[in-house]
Amino acid sequence: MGRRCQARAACAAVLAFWSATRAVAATPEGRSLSAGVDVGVRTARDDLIVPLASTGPALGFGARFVGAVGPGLLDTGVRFQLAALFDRSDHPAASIFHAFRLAYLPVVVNRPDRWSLALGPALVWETDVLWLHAWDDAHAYWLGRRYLGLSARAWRPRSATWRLELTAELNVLGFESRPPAYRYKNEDALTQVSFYFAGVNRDAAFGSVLDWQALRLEADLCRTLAPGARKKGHSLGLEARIAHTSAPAEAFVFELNVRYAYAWDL
Amino acid sequence: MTKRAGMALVGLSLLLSSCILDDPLKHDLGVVPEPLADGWIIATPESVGLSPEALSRIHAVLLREDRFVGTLGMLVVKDGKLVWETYLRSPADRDRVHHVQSVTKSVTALVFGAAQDRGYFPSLSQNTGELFPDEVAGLDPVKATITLQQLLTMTSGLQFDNVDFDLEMYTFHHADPLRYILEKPMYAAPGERFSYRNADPQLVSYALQRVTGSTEQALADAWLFGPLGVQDYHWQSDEDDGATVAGNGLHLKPRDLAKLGQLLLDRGQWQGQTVVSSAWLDEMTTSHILSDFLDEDGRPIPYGYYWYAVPGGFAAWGNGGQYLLVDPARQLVIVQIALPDTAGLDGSTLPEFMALVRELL
Repeated sequence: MGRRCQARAACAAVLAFWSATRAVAATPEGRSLSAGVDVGVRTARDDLIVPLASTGPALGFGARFVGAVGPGLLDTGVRFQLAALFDRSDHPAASIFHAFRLAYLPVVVNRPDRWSLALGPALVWETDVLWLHAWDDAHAYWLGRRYLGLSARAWRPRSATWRLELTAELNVLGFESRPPAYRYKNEDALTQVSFYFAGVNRDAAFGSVLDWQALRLEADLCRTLAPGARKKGHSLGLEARIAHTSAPAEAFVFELNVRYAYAWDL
Repeated sequence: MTKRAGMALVGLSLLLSSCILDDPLKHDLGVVPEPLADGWIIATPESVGLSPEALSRIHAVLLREDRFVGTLGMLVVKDGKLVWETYLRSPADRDRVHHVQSVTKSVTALVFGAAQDRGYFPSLSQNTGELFPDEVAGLDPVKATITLQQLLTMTSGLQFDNVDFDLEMYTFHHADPLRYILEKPMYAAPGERFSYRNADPQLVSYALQRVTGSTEQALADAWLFGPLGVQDYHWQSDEDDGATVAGNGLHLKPRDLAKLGQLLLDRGQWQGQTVVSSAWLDEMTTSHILSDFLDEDGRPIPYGYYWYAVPGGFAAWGNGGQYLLVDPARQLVIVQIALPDTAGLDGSTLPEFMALVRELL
C-alpha cells in the first residue's frame, strides 16, 4: 500500500471515528458477559511472499465482559476467527486471528438519554496468521502484536430496551512480530499449538502507530430482554478491523464482520 | 446517527478495498548482467553466439504472470561468461541466497565425489552395515545391506516419503535421527525400485560425516565452495545432531549456483585446480536408473547420482523450479531460481523448464 493509500485510509479512519463520536450521553449500568459469533469478509496480503491480496469468508467466535468498575468501564474479551481466502487465480489460503484485549475506560461524558463517552487505555494481544499454501507450503506469515492502545466507547439509549454502542480502538505503542525475511524449511512448527502463541510473537520489535497500525471500529445495536428482571440481552453489530505494517515488507489485513452476541447481566 | 456511522464504515471499507488491489507479480528489470567482483566475466549474448531474439522470447514468457509463476530469476552462462541475467520480482534477488531445495542433492553428489577423490569410500558397494554398525544393530537385517550406490540412486527401499521426512525430521526432535531413518520400514528390497526421497541423500550425509569426521557442510566448505570462492551461503543442519541436511537444506546465490554449473563444464577444474575429478563427474551424470519423473513425452527421466540426464546434458532440479542445467556440447549453463516452497505453480517441473529453454540448446 503506497503513501497515498495510507493517507486516505488514515483520513477515512479519522472521519469514521469523528462521525461515530461527535454526538455524545447513559452508561450501561451493571456488568454483562456476552458470547458472540461473527461472519464477515477478510482480505489479507503479505508482500514478504507475494504482492497479491487474498479475500474470502471468515467465521469468528468471541466472549466479552463489560462492567462498571469505579469511575469507568472495564472492557475485556477474547476472540478467535478463521477465514478461507483466495487470490485472483483462486489459489487457496487460510487465515486465523486470535485476540485478547483488556481496556479500562473512564467515563468522560455521561448524559442519560443522550450520547455518553468513555475513553481510556487498552492492552491488546492479537495475532493474524496467514497460510498462502500455493506460494509457500512450508511457512506461515503473521502479524503478531502486543500493544497499548487508545480505546473509546460511546453509547446512547434509543428506547427503554434498545441501545446503540460504538467503539473505536487504535494502537499507540507496542511490540510487533513479523516473520523473518529468511527462514529455513519447516522452521515454523506449524503442527504445534505453541507456534501460534509463542512462535508468532518471537523477535518482536518495539514500535508506534507510526510504524504499524491496528484499528478496530465497532457499532452494536443492543437490546435488553425482560427489563426490570435479571437482564439478558442480545446485540447485532458491525465491525471493521484493519492491520497494516511495512516491515520487513508491506502486509495488510482488512476485515468487515457482522456480529451477533447474547449477553447476560451479572 | 446510526445511519451516519454505518455510512462511515461502508465508506471506509470501500476506500481501503481500492488500496489493496494486487500489485504486479513480475517486473522487467533488465537482462544485462552487472559486473561484480565475483569472478564472473560479463559478455553479450551475441559475442558468444547466442541469439538475442531467442533470449527475448524466453524473457517474454518469464514476464507473463500466468507462466513460470514462481520464477524469481534466470541466468545464462556461455563459454564461461555470464551473458544474460534477469530478475523478475526484485533486483535484490541477485545478491541474496535462495533455497535451492533438491539441487542440494546434486551438490551432495559433488561433495561425495570430492570425498571419494580423497580416498574415502573406496567402493560404492559399502553398505549401511559397514557404515553404521551401531545404528542398524537390532533392526531388520536387510537394513544393513543398503549400499552407497543404492543411496545415490534413490533405491534404498526405505519407506519415508518427503512430506513425512520434512515434517518428522525438522519439526520433531529425535535422540538419534540417523537411527530414526533406518528404523523406517522397507517398501521394496534395496536396489529394486527408484523412489525419490530425502532420506537417501541424508544417509549419504551421515556416511560422509561418519567416514571423514566432518559434517557435509564443512567438507563442502573446504573442498567445493572454498575453491569456487562461494562464501555467502547457508546450509541447514539437523537441530538434534548437527548433521547437514543433504536433501534440501542448501541456500545459494544465483551466480554461485551458476559457478557449480561452470565447474561441471570445466570437468571439475576451477582456476587450474581440480575440485572434483572428471571421472566422478562422468559417473555422477551418467544415467544409472530411470526416475519416477516423466519428460515432455511421458517417458521417465534418466537419473544419475542425484543428477537428471536431459537432452544435451544434465540438470539439477529443486522443488518450486530451481534448475541448474549444464550442456557440455554448447558450453552452456542455465540457472533458474524460484519461490522454493510452492505447490505445483506453472514452471515448477523440469519438462516445463526444458521446453522454455529448448531454443538455446
